[in-house]
Amino acid sequence: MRHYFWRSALVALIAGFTAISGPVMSEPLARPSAFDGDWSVVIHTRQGDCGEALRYRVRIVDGQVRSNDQGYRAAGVVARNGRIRVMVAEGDRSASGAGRLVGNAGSGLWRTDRGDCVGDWTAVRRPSDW
Amino acid sequence: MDSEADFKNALPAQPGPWLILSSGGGDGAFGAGLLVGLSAAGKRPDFTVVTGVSTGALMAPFVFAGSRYDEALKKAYTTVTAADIYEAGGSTGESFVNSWPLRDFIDKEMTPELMADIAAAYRSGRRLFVITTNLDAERFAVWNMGAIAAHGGEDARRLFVKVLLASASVPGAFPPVLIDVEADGKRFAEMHADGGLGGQFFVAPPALMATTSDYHLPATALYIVVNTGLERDFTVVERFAPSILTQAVGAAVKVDTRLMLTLSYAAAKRSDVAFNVATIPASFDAPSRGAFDPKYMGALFQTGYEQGKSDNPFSPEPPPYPSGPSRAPSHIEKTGAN
Repeated sequence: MRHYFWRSALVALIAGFTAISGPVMSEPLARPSAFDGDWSVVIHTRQGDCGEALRYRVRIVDGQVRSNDQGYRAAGVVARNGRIRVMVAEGDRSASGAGRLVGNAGSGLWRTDRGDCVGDWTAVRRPSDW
Repeated sequence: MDSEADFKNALPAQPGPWLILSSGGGDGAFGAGLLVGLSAAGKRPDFTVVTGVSTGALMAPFVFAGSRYDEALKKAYTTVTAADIYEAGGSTGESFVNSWPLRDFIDKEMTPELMADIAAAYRSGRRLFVITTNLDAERFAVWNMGAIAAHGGEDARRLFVKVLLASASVPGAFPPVLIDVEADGKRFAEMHADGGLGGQFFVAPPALMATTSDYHLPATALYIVVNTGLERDFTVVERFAPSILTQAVGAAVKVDTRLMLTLSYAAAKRSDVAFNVATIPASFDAPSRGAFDPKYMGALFQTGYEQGKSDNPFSPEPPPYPSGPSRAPSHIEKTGAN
């Protein structure tokens, strides 16, 4: 029997670009950020049925996390120190989390708001030829 | 190879057993396990021809190069995750997701050492064929991968990788692959996509496989490995484009695979060639947490492995068509719903 949880996977993917604890930025940037650009994020589910590991492309513009997909809503910000927090919603599901970007990499934690999936994420800046 | 004549000319001089590896995505773990199991039991034939479509194309180089690559084959089908295959979020304009992770994975696995072993097998007279679909021309393309490997050099290896990626690139889901060609002194890029568009596995060009053809396959036996479940599974499809496409393509693949098995069985009988087919057991029902779930693929690999080591890994006839209603998913059975 095969199940393809595309919707939950998408939520998990975006939500993974976040973390569930730790300080977050209190001063969102509204101007070009050192972290602007495309990132490739790998979401690892450590608990729950949201897919073992999924990869997602995320774009940051002026310190704001942008969604480039019609399948979900995403909102998030990156502080000058790299702290990042993102909320994602798709259908009746949502997820949140936070973490930190340093240079061309990043990591953090995430969870669905129902608490049925929990995990961590890693990110690398995405070369243009990917 | 652009014609039936090219195909005939490319075949080995002496008849031998042919291995035919089908499409199937992550379910390719079944075929990988089966072939490793055949090796473990010491009864894997020395295939003179290996053909691969889609996931079958991805495993074909390891199989063609010999059992010393069994561990690499196992690793490829039991440890990868969706993150190693595609990147979601933000369509490319050509597809729902980006396949650069799969491209890099193939590039890493197709080592110069593997290329050298494939080239040596080619020079010994064996043949490795991979099938892509030329979308521009609305026709399939059969790539003589051994000849490419035997050409040598980094450019040949890169073409080898491109062909494998193209063969596994389902249109719409993954971007097509542009392959530079030259004809009549002009260079241009052909758009190639999943070889499964022209059939879920490949034995010979359609004109030679037709029931009206009198072509006799120059083989001693056909061994067809079907890397997709052929049972009808009941699924409540989400009203979400990727879910709808996944279900639709999956249903079409099952129908196409059964029709091709019927055609291949007829061609084998006409050619007086032994017919052997291995399919995923109907009893396999391990749950999957999504596409390319390593736990699911590991369970499927093990199922194939045990079948490969068994006394009867292959059936001499295509599996019977299912009758009655579609198979209900286990979670519905448990809750008593439906």
